[in-house]
Amino acid sequence: MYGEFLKNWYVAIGILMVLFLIKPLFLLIDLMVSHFFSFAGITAFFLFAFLEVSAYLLLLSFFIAIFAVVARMHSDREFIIFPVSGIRGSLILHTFIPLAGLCSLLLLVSLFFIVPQVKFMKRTLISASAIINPIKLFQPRSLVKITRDTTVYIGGIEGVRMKNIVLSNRDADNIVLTIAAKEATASVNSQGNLLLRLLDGKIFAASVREGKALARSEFATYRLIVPLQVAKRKISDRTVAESFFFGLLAISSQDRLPALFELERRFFFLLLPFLLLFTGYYLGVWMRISNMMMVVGAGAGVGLCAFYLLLLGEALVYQTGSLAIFWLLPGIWVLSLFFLRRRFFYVS
Amino acid sequence: MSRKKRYVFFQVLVYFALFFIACIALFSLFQLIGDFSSFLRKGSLFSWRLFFAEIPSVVRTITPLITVLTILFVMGTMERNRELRIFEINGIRSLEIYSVCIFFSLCTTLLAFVAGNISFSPSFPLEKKSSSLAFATDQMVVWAERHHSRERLEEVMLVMLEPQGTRVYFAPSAKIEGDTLILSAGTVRSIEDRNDPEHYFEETRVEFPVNLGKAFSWFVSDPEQTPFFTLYAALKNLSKVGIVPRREWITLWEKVSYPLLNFFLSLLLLPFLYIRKKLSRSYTIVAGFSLSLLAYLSFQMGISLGKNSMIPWWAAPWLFHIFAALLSLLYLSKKEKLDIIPSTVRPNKKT
Repeated sequence: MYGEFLKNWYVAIGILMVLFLIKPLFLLIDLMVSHFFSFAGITAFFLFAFLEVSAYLLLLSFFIAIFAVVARMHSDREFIIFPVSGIRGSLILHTFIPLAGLCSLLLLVSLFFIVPQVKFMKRTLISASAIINPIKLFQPRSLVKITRDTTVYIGGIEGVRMKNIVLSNRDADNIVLTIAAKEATASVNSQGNLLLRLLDGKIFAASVREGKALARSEFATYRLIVPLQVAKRKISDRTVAESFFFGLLAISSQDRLPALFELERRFFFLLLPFLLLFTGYYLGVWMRISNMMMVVGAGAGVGLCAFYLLLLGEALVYQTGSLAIFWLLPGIWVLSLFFLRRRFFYVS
Repeated sequence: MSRKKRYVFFQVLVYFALFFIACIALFSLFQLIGDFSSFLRKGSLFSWRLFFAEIPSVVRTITPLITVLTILFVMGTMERNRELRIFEINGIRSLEIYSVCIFFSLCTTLLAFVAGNISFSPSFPLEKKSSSLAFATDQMVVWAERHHSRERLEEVMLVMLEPQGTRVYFAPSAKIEGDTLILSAGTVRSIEDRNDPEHYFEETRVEFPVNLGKAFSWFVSDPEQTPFFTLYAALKNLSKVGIVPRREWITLWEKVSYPLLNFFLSLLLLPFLYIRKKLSRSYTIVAGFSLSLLAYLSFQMGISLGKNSMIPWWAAPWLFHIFAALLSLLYLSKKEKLDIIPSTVRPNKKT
């Protein structure tokens, strides 16, 4: 039985991996051409993307494999043959309980250790690559609005140098600077600000609101700092989803509900293999389908239901402010499994 | 179009309608699911207006996939019913049948182009905003603290960077008339000459080689959302002052090249006509999805490479099309060998 389970599991995980990795693939193409081309960078990105969805892959493939095995057995009348041969139908269910336990254990490692770290590392990788080459912001013979208050015309680009720059920028005192320079280079500092080093040009300051020219000067080198929006949040700060167990407990002292709900959500995921085992078993008996595409479709349907259950739970928690109310929904799920057990008493 | 070709075209249309309805239904389902999620999370309600506004862009996006699936399904069904062989025995070459699919792909190209150019966004987004605005070229800089419409600016500074010196205009208000900026009740002075006093004017007209209204409009609008002809006019207008933004030009040609994926993908399907095996439904779906995904990925790759100056910008939207055309030409040059009945022994259609 484990052999058949594994066979179905391989197919299911293959299909799910293709489905789950399409989105990272699109993002990767953009990242590859925009920011990094190194083999190590691409491998790291794909590894992170895979590990990030590993919990969902594990759960859904587990459910699909169970469902496929039971549905095939039922369509081949094996649930009639077993009791006739003196073997209880529930034995099949019990055979898979250690697998559900193993799945739960893997989820524990994945959700509490791997996924938070991977999410953090993926964000760090993307943030770092996004500020590697600020020259990518600029194109020759174009007009770029860098921020709400900074607009740059670039006459040309030669290597890393921009040529014939005309820039208008409003500073904190509402003074509008108009700068024309023959050359400029750009870099990004650790705070995420764009540093423009302008060479050989002239600068003109004015208060447009008052209609007054304030100053005019020529320069050999002028440095202008433009705050970019890419690094508003410090990269080292972990979000709730990126925090480990103790990190969440620490966050909960300031931001109680999101942090504790995240913990609750992770514990709910640990229970899911058992819930999915029973659901897959009874659905397999009920639906009696053997086509793999239909099995995958049913798996996607149950996955979607579980996702909505989580959403509904989240909405209830945030609306009421009570964390306990979340467990009402898994409770209803368990109750419906009891009804299914009664309905299919002959295999229970 | 002959009766037989009309029959094939009708088959194609039926399958296209089926896939189209299925895809729109799926989109609606996903939209509802997405909206239900945001309703649960934020309490925001489903917006029919947004839903219908999204449909043209969905149609544009999904047509290549639907075209591929339709052609594959029609060919699979005809092969299953031995219709292709019957046509060949009657002197109608497979390529003639395939020309119907090519014609159909041109129709879907047109549909995708039209759908991609339907814009629900306001024609001039400036109307709703009132923030500062800056426009710069190598000859001038216009700064307006506020703008109330396409034609009216408030608290304006105009810096003219001329070879003989820099002049600066300040005016509490200005009006745009085509390529003329009319500044009212302001001052003008030369920056270089400190002895040059400030000159007051009641009204002064400054002419530019560019239509400023259109230029401002382009600068604050999203090129992705702008219809092809509007964007083309805006970019042509900007090129008069030496602004040739490559990314926006790529976006412009993307509006033509993406719909043309329908046509070029249908060219790539030609080998399926000669496989002469029964194409199962699941095989057809997997092949259709894989081919469309591959096409979409290589198309996006071309766009990204072009936007990052790794390939010439004019080639970026056409990368996939070039490969598809080359592959199809290569295949067509060898296809005679694959015909079941060589053209030399085919009965004359007229007899």
